[in-house]
Amino acid sequence: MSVSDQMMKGLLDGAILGLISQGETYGYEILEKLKERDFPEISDGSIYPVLLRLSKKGYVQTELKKSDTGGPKRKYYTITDKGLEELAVFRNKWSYLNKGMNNLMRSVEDAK
Amino acid sequence: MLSKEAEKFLLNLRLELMSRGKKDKDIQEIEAELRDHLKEAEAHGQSVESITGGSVKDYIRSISEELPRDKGFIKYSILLLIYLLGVFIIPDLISGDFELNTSVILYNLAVLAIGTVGTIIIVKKIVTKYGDSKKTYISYGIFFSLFMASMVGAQFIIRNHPGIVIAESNQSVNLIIGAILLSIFIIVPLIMKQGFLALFTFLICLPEIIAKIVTGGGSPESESYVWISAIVFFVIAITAIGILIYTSKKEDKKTSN
Repeated sequence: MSVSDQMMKGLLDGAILGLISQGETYGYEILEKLKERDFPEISDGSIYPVLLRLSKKGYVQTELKKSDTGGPKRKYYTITDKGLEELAVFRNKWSYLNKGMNNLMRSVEDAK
Repeated sequence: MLSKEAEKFLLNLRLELMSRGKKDKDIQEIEAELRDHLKEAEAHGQSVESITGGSVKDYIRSISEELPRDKGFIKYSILLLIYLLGVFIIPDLISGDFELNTSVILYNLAVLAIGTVGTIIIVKKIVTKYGDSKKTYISYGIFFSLFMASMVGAQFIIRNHPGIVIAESNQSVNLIIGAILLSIFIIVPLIMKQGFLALFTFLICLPEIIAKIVTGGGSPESESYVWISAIVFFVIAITAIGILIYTSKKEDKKTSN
């Protein structure tokens, strides 16, 4: 796996957790919201391993409910207290990382 | 209604996760979730590739990595191997035709390996290639026919080339050991609430039991013994296939309603 792929994998966990924190949602809707916000380079299915991981760690909880389309029951995700704590840690780390990376990349561009 | 391609992908996913020993509940949940996603995706003109990102194999692996393995998987696999070994040996013991030699050991090991690991690999390969189609069922039929034919062929080879004889006993001792093992292999599955396995053991041994009773404890090599056991086996096989077809058609009818 390339460096950029690994980076995307880590960021996707935080991005999805952030989306779920905004209210109850389900798989396809999460994907649509990621696309709306121009989250780059994800295949549609890549959100499901992430959702399984977040669920396994207890950051989100799931509930089966009737879907709006009247089809079979759909799995909805909501964030837990543990998930909110993790999201706060992620946001904090992300702001440091974002600042640090921007500074670093600017110096790389200057060197060119 | 999902496309054939999507159904094939979900079937692949289910088989792969099952063969990796994942919990039934988890498999059902992820399958239902991806089915829900695929319905919306296809309604918006997207294909299965949008989910898998191109490689079905890699995608299924990424899902599999996040699902815990069923703790009982290894225990049940070992129990199943012991059960299969019993199913292969008990009928021979009851008929009094059992002899422990190197060929018998190699034969049983080969049957267990092909019958379990081999079958999983072949079934997965067939489903991956053809999905839920007629070709799949025809391929299953060909594989299992070849497997059964090889088993029958190997039995003839064993009789003519027994290799090194490790243990042999007379017919009555074989019969007693067979009866004890048969009772164990029926009672234990019943205690474990696996009635189907208990019934299967009994049905596999029934041709030998009936032939033994009707011929008054006759030799398994006598013509009447061979005919009786073959006829009973044929009747059981036809009845079982008939019941399976009937119940599967009933299930299909139920699902379509």
